[in-house]
Amino acid sequence: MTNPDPNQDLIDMIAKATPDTPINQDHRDRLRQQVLDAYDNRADADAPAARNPLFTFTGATLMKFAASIALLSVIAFFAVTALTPSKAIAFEDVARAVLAIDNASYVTQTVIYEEGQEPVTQDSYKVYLQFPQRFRVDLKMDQMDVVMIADVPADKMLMLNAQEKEAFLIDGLSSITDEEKPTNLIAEIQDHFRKAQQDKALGKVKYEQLGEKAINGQLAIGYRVIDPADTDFDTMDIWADAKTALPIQIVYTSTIDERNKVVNILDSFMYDQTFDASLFSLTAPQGYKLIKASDLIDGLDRTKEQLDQAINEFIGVEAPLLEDLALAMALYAGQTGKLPEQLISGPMIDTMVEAWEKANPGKPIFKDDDIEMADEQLNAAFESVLTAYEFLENLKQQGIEYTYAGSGIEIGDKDTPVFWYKPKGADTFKVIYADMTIREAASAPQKP
Amino acid sequence: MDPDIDALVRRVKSDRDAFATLYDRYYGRILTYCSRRLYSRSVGEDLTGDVFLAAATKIDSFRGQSEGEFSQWLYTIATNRINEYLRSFERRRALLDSAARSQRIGAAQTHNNVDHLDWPTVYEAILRLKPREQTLITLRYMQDLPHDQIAAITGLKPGNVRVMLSRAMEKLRTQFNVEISPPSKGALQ
Repeated sequence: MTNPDPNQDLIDMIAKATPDTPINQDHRDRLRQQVLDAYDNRADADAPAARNPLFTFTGATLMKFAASIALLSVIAFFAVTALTPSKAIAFEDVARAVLAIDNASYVTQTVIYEEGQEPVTQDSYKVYLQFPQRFRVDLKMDQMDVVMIADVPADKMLMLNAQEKEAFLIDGLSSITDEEKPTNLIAEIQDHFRKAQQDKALGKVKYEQLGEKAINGQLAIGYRVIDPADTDFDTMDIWADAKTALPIQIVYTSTIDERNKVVNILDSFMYDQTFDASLFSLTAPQGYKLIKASDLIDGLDRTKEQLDQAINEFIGVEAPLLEDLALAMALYAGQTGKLPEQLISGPMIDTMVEAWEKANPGKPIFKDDDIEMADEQLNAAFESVLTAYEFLENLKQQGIEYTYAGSGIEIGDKDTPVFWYKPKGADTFKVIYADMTIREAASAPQKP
Repeated sequence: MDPDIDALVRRVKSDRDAFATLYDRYYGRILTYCSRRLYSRSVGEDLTGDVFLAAATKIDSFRGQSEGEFSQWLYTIATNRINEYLRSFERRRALLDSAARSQRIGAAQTHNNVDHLDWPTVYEAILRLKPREQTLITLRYMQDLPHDQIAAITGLKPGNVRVMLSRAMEKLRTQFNVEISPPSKGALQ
């Protein structure tokens, strides 16, 4: 449905006045060649590995992006060429020490820098690596308590949700392209150094010396690895033990844009441990309900979106529910007195703003920074409406029809149905009533 | 969005031809966006070049799988480049402003009707908005991008994009009402 825009007349006038921008074919063709050359050259320059799409949430906000990084602190991307040699522990020593690692554990902390906000430090989580290519991430973020175990040679990944006592098994990683398979940070660094050694090019690795500092009482020598492709995304500071040359701390910065970045700090490294085999077990623990990705979606034909959705739902990062819709309706009614005429986010927001301004004459709707709403309740209502919209979109994507019958109704009556749908495979309908309770009904309610 | 284009986007990191096709598809849109934001086709062409060169070298950092995500990524690069340009060339911006204004004078003398808004008039009015509002108006009404994509490009919340756009349009309406009937003294300075 199209949202009516009260400024349509003005929009039309602007459109009418806006000149066409004729294309200069010469410029377009010349630029095309330059751009394709740049594309080719970047491919020659040891391009960074793609992040695992399993953990790259579609349409990710910064927070979601941080979560994806947190789940796979394990992903790395860089390639290097040299600037300055070191004196004490040479960069080559660090590279050799890293290449010798065959198991390790470490703790990762993620800090999010968002424009206009105080930096946000996420909960830390622990990573266990057992080469070749087995790793485990114990992640605790907000309400999440998730363990991810990946065994690339076995072609499997298991995620455990401690709260829900659910285990989610993704098998058949081979259906995913090589560059998209889960990998881990140390393995990526090792791969790079190995290639560089093979090419006898280790001396050409690009890095900067960062000097010395004490980390937890240990003297560390720092090197900054620099991305040859000069992207905004990749810098990595490796602080190595001045005696063993093994990393004590790795600071890994992903720049979203000029204003926003995510910094991962990896420390508390422990090497040469004997891990209990159960740490990397791909069997669901006792008492856990096992959900197989292949049961949810066709293992061969599944798309990244389907996997993303399944994983998102599993870890609860982003799964709008019917309850979210009920909350949005309640918040809307709280602002305007009645339920919305239609469940369309734009007009709902417009009406709420109108009602708010009427109730708060002369009060600015935005804070000074023009980004945040001045009124927290209104802001919460906005957020809620958008989450509800997402819920409705998800229903549409699944081909589920729903009915809205709440137009102009006031909140309160427990027997007036205002919204209902039948979930896929269910025998009963889910119904929101005007008192905002959710109940099930054997048949579709009659419109009031 | 077109599923065939989504398929191209999914191959764009490893398939040169896919990248070339997306370049062909988006060259005009990005050029138009840059040119309209900066009121200069030559500057628009320069920045379009920057945008696509950056996209080519940074393509491995692109995480999307659909055309919508590719479009959003490209517009984000373009928006950042435009903002950088405006910050670096404040003086030039003033000159552009003045150029728009001088054309506006001629325009104002011949068009006294809202139905005959001309580009210099529109541009001058847009220039008087806050930079963020300028970006929102250009992305929404000149590039036809949806609110959620604009939100992702500008780092604002979708609900706020809608409200800020509405505010910006109200400001424009006020300006046009004032400006279109006999040109104000301020506009002629």
